[in-house]
Amino acid sequence: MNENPTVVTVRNLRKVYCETETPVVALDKVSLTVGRGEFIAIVGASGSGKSTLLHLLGALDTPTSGVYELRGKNVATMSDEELSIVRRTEIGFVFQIFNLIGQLSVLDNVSLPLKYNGISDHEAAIRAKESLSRVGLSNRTTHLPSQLSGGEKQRVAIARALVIGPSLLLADEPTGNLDSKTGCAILELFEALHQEGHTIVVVTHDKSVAKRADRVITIHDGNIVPMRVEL
Amino acid sequence: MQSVLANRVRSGLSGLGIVFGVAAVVAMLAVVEGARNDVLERLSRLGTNVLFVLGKDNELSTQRQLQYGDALRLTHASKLITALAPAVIIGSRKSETVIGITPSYVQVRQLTMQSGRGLTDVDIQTRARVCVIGREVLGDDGNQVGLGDVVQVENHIYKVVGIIASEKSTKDQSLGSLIRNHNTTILIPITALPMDAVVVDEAIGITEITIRAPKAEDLIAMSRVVNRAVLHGQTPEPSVEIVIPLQLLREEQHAQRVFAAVVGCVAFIGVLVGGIGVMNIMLANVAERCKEIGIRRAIGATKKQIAMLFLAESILLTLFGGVGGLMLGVCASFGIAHFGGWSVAISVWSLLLAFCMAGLVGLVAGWYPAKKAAALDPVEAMRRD
Repeated sequence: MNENPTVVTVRNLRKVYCETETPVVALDKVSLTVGRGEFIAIVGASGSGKSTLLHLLGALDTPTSGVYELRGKNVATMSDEELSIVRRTEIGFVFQIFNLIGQLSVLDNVSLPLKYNGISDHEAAIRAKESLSRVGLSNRTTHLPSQLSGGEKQRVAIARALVIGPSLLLADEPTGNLDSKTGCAILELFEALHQEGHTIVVVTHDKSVAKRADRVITIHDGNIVPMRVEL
Repeated sequence: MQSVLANRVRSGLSGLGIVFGVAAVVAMLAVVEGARNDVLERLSRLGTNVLFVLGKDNELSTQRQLQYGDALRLTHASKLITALAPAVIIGSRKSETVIGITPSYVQVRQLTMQSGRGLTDVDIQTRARVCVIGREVLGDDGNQVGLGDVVQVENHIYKVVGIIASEKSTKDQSLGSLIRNHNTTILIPITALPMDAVVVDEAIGITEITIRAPKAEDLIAMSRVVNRAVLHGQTPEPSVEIVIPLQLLREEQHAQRVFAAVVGCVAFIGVLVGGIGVMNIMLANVAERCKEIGIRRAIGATKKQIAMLFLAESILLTLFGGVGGLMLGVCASFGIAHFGGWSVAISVWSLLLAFCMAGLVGLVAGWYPAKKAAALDPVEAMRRD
């Protein structure tokens, strides 16, 4: 077991997009730490850089400069293949638009990360079923995503994120595409996961989400606003 | 797998080129193999490694007839010549052919003795009036002749010392008298021909020399050796023609070869067009499934795993086409055999080759789309619809 209670350490993180003629600074001098078992909400206006931060935390992208340590490993300097391995062993990602694969059944969607980890089909199916039963969908394993409601889709996505036993659970506007009642149920699920000891970082506009967090980080123009926002 | 099945019509159409390409390969190989088997079948009695030196009528005053001496000279001409049999066909006695031979004839012509013995060097030296006969040689009384009996050829009496095992009769006319049926022959020593005029051995006029090479590939080199040894530096030179049965039959199969070449072109074009079709559909596939690729990458698939996903799909697609092509190709081969009258042969290795070729096309055609899919940025790819 890792004795270090800090899961995420970010120092002076900077991300510049150079695709256009004038470079766009999406993030600058961002530093933060996330302790084990913390539930953090990142809030900010659209275009503030919060999605960029989430992508960097999710090892989907690498920063232009700065340090990102995930459980002591420096993710910022990893190769593409190493990033893939971090994503499938350390990080559970939940998206606003669910991002399930339409041709695959619920069970196959959930077991896919395990298969990329080289776990046998049989073992993967068992663990996927456990994960689905954790989110209350053990009766939906053979359905296709198109046969599910929005709330159910998001539960499948959460089951997929949980199946690898992630050290960091990231969510990008997890309630953004749901009605308030279903959104509330999803938030309760996140809160329950938090109670179980999961480390969660959520990007959101939704104040009701931020309210449930231990800590709220506000991002403005690529920087963390240095005060604690009281909601 | 799912995506190949989901786009059945599209996959089917793009696999069609592969179907025709593979079918053409199967048909081409079947015709080539059939032609080869045909040659082997027709040469089964002679063997493929045989060359004939045939005596011709003198056309010029500077030429003379092929003689026994020429055969003796050839014996030492080259290491390539492992066995050689001069023979003189004397003509028919009733329905039988009388042939003057040396002891090597039985071996070179690959005859089997049923009983008794073959002719020996002693028979040649002593000009013995003995003979070896085929199973169907009949005596004057119409009964089958046996060991120890005698047969009369012109005015001479020959004692039967051996009988040749029965041969299957051949209907093949293309090689004429070169493939003879030994069931009705009487073989006598070349030095004991039923002629009254006695000449020196070397000057005995002969009809043919059969020469066996170590391998069929040596025949061309051997014909050069024969040319040098028999024809050149002699006055008068013998009037001969060198015949390689294998070559004769191969020339006869010109039509088959042209067909095979044309079908080979069809196969090439089919496979090329099929490959382009598969690449096209795979590119469309990658574009359509951009979001899915992004999701897979986000949950931990490496570039290699994404590339393998699409490469496997491409190969699967062409292998489906390959199966269809094999069936069509087998049908086409039987059609050629039935309507064209050619012999075709479908071998397991030719089917395997055609099938592997389909897989290879899948690999090559899928390479670029797979690479493209793997190179997608996960965040970008997920944003697209």
